[in-house]
Amino acid sequence: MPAQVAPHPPPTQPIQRLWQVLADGLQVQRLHLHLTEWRDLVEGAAPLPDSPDIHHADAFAARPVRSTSTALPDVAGLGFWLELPAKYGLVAAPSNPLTPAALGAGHAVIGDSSQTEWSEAVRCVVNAAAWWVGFFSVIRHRGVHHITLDQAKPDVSLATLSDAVTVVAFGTAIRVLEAHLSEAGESDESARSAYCRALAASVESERRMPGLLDELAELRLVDLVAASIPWRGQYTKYAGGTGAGQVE
Amino acid sequence: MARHPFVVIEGLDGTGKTTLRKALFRLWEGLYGITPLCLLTTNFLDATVAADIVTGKYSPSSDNRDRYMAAVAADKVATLDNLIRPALPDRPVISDRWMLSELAFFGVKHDLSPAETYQQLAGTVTQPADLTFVLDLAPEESIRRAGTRRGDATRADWDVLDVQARVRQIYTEVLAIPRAYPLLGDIVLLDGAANPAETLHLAWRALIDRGLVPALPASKDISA
Ligand SMILES: Nc1ncnc2c1ncn2[C@@H]1O[C@H](COP(=O)(O)OP(=O)(O)O)[C@@H](O)[C@H]1O
Ligand SMILES: [Mg+2]
Repeated sequence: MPAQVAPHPPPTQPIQRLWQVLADGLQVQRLHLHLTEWRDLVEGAAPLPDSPDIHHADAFAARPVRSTSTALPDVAGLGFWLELPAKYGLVAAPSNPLTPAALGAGHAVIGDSSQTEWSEAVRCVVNAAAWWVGFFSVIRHRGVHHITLDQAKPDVSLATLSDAVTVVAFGTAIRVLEAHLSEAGESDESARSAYCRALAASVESERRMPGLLDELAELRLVDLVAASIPWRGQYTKYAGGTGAGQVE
Repeated sequence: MARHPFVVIEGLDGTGKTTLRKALFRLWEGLYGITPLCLLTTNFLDATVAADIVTGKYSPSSDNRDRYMAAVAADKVATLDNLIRPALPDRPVISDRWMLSELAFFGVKHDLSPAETYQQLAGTVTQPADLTFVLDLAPEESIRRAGTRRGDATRADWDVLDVQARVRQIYTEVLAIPRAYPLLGDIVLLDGAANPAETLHLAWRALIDRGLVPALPASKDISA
């Protein structure tokens, strides 16, 4: 090996990390813009007009169980991801039908390493993924089609929403593991292994992304899912100088 | 001057090269904050030989063999000059196929030994890869996998069992005497039958062991 191969870390923040910060801000903004609307629907426990599988809007509203004392989600920039569902999620609500998909993704990443700090953090962020996808699913019928910007959109099934949760959950698991490995270094073999499983899952889900976004069809859900995981379309919203973060 | 590595991924069609390339790309970008440049074994950067590449690859004959060899070499030189060397100070380069695939092609189509092909290419292509990963898998299985991909053209004179078995045999011959092929760099054999996450982990390990990935920053805390 030539002696000159001695890779340096990049001198400045990679642009992708800054786009991730912008994309996170967009989710926070949207949640607060539509909180009243969401509460009205959830408290009315009305059926969701465009999700025939869901008979009551409060199905998605349960507060996720936050069980971590680790700082890893904060280090990963995912503090808001746990805090907002903890703040606004309902205590007395049925269990979220999207949670199994979230936990399935978490389990696939964690494998046998369930007693670690990072695995506890992964479990928390994937759990919250079910709440976030659920939040935008509840108000989906009030949104617009992601391409035509029309009100008209096809109905969305629980299976599609579960796939969306799986993707978002893998994306948050990747961020937690990156935060952990950056802090702890690459000597943690079980974390390296889990990170490889999460990255392989992101490669695998790339195939599903165009179809999934098409089925979701609604701008806010599409933005949430598209920016959540590494794939070729993750930051197209920002890469051309188009999106500046703020909307609506 | 310090630079990043030039990494090559080789293997039969369907062994998982693209899958590993995408995963390594995400690893470098996500954990190390460095976006790699990905490229292929021919990149058509020398327009004067582009026609020879197409003819020599898809209609190989003894008449166009030498022109094809020269064209492949010229394209590699142009790729090194215009893409790889300019990229390496700032980012790693991951090439999906490079030298080993050419050795196999000339072996199968023109009955040239890998050593003969190597000698001809090494006359003009002088910069070695730092690391060549070779994904190894039984051709029965790699052909089956490649067939499950949609929108992929299969070539009757290439994507068939006897040809793929011959290609794998040439890989094996080369891997038996790696010192004879220094342009391949260090060679790391990976089991194509393992699952993609395990393969990624082994590949990452090989990069760590050789100092080809940067030291991790203490923290990349960007939360506010
Ligand atoms: N390790 C693996 N185990 C099982 N299937 C795999 C593996 N790696 C890749 N595949 C699948 O096999 C097919 C070919 O993989 P791909 O990465 O495109 O191979 P290549 O680029 O070498 O032709 C794809 O459908 C891919 O999802
Ligand atoms: Mg490929």
